[in-house]
Amino acid sequence: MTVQLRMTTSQRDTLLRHLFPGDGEEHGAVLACGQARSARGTRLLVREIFLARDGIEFIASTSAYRALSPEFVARTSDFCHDGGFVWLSVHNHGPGDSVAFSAADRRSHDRLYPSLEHFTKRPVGALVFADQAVAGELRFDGRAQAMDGAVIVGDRIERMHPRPPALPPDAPATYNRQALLLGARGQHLLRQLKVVVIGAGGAGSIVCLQLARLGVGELVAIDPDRLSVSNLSRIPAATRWDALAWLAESRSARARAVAARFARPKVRVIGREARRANPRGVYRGLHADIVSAAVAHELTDADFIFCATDTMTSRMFANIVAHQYMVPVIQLGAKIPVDSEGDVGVIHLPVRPVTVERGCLDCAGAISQRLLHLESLVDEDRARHRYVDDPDVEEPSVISLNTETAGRAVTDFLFMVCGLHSAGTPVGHQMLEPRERLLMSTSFERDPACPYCSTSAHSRFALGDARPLPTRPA
Amino acid sequence: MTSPDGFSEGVSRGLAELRSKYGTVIAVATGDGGARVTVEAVPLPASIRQEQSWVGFVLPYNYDDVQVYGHFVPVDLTYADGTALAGSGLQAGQTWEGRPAIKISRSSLRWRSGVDSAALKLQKVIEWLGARR
Repeated sequence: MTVQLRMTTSQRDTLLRHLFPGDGEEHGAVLACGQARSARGTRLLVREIFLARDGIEFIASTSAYRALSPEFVARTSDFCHDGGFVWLSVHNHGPGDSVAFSAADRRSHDRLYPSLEHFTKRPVGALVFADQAVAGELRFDGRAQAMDGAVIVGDRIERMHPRPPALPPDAPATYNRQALLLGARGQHLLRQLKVVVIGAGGAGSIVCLQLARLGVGELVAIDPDRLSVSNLSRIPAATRWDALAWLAESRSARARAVAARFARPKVRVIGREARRANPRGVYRGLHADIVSAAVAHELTDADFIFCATDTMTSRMFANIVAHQYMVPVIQLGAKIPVDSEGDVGVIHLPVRPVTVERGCLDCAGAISQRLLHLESLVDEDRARHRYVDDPDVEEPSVISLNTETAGRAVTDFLFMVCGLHSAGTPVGHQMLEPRERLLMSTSFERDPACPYCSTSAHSRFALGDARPLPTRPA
Repeated sequence: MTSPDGFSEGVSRGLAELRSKYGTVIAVATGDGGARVTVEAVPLPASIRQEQSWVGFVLPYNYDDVQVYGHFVPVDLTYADGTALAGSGLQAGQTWEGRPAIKISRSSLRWRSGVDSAALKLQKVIEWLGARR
């Protein structure tokens, strides 16, 4: 079982500026963290950082060089007790790419942590930083477990370890050409990732197949739909047999109903191709709705999520998981407005990275409460709440437009994970308008009281398992 | 996660707030964690002839990450001068849990989970209704 710390880039920068101001001294802090537990391990999600003031809250100690003051420990542990957070002390050693606790550190942990664990009713622990490394230890139920390192979530997905990880073997021959860009380490990293794709339709299917070809180690696709004949023009490698086309195109309503009921689920069509593309990878296709309680947990321990559906429900759910569990998301789509006269409006191909510290889909106005409400009702209620523009009406969809948006999204993912964007490049929302050949960055104001991306009292940010997700019962 | 009554955690919280503010609230499970809610005695503003009324609406399974929209009131509500409720945002010919009703359409452009609530929205909708006269 692994233990991993997750924090945003700005949280990491704030902490390192405090620990390494250039004076060569030790400094201290406390992190209050949400918890997320799954079969893949425990994640500690940094919600609040308390920087200890030198000489007042981080003071000379008889048992160690310096220590957090009792008042500071009491104040921060009260916060963790009241909010249900894991309490983690932080201090630093010298700069470098390796770090470990000293014997004095361990003696201090042994004295302090049993009573803190008892008080906060949560695991407690400690971190020690070098400027390029972090080591940690988490104690729960009286047992100590070493942390595996930290993931820094932002425009780049960075990793910090206690010591430099061993060099991976050369990339397999299959990936020779792309490894020239990604490096053996980048290729190895892709193999370690669990990526979830919500929606296996026109755009999602292409995202899945590109991820499989890239060599992503664990790929999960979630979609409740079965293949229809009208999907054959857009889902790569889908066949007429998959769609039961001879029944679907029959004059008999009964035959068409049989096709609709028994055609192959989209996630199974994608699975066939994903396994061919990456026989060493794990693929799971979940023929289910994303808000089903039975599948929602697949998102919470993911390393990356693509949201490739056109429903507000999926967008809202992905946005919640992104901030509550600190999992980066890219939402993508293709909006092609054609009116009843056949007139084509402005086509929008959005790619919206939600990098946890920026890109909140709610702040960006990318979630329509009107449509979300309508989608959230049971059929009986939906009929009487319906607006004039019926969301069930089929909209245009074209493979080349889906490929365009999918390719940009997967490239953003690849560059975020492998650190390939040019330094300082903001990874914000983009909109392509292909009719005008315009690619635009879109900006928006963050809501300081946002219930998802802010740290206001009612926000879900970094709460992990402490707040139930808005799922439908299985 | 649903309660023994079949309501999601958010819906249960919303019902508790409505009951503490308005008293009797009938909630019928929609089967997916949501509820059809009827608040039996909502005080009405002076511009409405009746002093109080029932008001019905749905709390979806994912309340309070989603707004409350579509409030239903009795067809026989009238303004103080005796005229029937009508006009933009009001839709006659509806039913609510078998009762003839008028639907009030007041959508929230921005809905903040944890700040906005079913009880607050109900209050605003009734204030809006009263301010039309």
